[in-house]
Amino acid sequence: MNYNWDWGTLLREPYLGWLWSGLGWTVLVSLGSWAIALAVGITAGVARSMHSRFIPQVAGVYIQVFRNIPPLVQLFLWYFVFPEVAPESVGLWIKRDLPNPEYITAIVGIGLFSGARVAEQVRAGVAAVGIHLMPAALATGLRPLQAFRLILLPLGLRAIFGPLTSEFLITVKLSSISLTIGMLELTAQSRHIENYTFHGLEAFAVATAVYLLIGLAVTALMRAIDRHFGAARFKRAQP
Amino acid sequence: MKRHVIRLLGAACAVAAVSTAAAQEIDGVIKKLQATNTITVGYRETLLPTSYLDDDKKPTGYAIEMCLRILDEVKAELKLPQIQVNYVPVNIQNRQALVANGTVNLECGGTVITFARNKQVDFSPVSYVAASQLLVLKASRISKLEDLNGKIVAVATGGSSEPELKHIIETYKLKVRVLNVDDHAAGLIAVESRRADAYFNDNAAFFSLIKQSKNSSNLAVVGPEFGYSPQGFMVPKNNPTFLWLVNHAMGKMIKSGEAEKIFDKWFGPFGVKVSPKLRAAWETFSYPE
Repeated sequence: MNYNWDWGTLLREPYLGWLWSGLGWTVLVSLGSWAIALAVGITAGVARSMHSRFIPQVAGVYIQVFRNIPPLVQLFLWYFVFPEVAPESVGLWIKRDLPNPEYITAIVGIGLFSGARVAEQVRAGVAAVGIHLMPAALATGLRPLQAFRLILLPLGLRAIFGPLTSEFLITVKLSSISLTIGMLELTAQSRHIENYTFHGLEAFAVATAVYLLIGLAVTALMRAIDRHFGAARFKRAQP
Repeated sequence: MKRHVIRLLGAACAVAAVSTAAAQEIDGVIKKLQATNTITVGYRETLLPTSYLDDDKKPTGYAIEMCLRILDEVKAELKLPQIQVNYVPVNIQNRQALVANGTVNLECGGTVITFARNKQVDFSPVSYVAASQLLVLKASRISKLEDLNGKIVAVATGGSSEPELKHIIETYKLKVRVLNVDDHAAGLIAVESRRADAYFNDNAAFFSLIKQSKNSSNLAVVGPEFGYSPQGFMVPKNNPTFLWLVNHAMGKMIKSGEAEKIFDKWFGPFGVKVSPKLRAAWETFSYPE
């Protein structure tokens, strides 16, 4: 194949600007979905570990449904199907008046998928530090939710820091599927550049490198957090 | 193991080198035609009525018929007993690469001729002139560009219509929210589900969209024909003789009126006639023998 490499294309405007804005959206989608994933995941993970007949089952249904449907399908369901089955006025509001509907849909879709995975990690973390701490905590006079907040979650989350980092990384990479509903994030902008310049390989090479950098940054960040608050410090503190 | 990998890499490089040589060979298409009597034609699967699969899954359409006529001329000119056509489906993303690397010898679809593309492939004379228009729901009462103020407009990412829409928004000082869609089908869904009020695209794509729609009577194509997007058939570079044959065959068809007959046959049912811009392009190409 005759391919003329031309890296200079990417430095020219508007292509450099496109890559920049793509990077911005990738970061925004990643952070937004990760925030939802953490919030939902921790809630569902705690619910799953609760001593109750009803609550763990509800959380279990959420986890099984959202973990087992491909994220792309979920995104399509949220974007194309949900507004149509919702009452017409609500559907129209979602489609037309919601500020930045593609972005909101993307972070909700990706966030709920990752949330189900995070929930399972949290449940595993709580189980790992020992749900048997629960009766001890209750005996000191804590209410169940307080016991989770003060004892089980701080210990459980520290135990699952490694897998959580992986989940964060997966969420960052999943942000690229939001291009299917019209988010112009990094991958979309690379395709965009390819369409205009036919120098797609350069654009995708840069996108690959940028994803790698984001991934390394996320890993470094999580490691720093772990070093300051995590199990590593916990272990060091012990004689 | 390591040596095995190196050998594999070496083989891959050799294959790459050979295929590069084949793609760069002068008049490779003619040589292939003379040696094997075969040609590889690229077609689009759903570009109604230009290039699409008919009910028997056979490539057909305006561009295919033009190309088959061109190949008749090629056959006569090269004095070949017959030409066997191998059809290869192409899409918007891969069509250019497949022609540039020589996999496809003649792309019979609706590719807009641009100087950027022309750097990598050659083009036949203009086969069709598309212009950008708006696909809207009739109920939206949008009829001209000014009506878009305060509306949501869908546009396909990566096409030529995207910069045009930007230009229109700036020229008319419109307040428009742009919705990026991935392909034409998504544009149609956006309009039909009222996610967007209009789909701005070149009108060549609208024919198949309207046909696909379940409520085609609700849809309308409105607005002035914006821009000039001449389409042609792609031919790989370094094929001067084949390109000449294509040009000559199309020139003859244009001059004899045959081109217009084929045009009417395919576009007539959609109520489309040869547009003034296409006629001008054809007249420009009506060189004397």
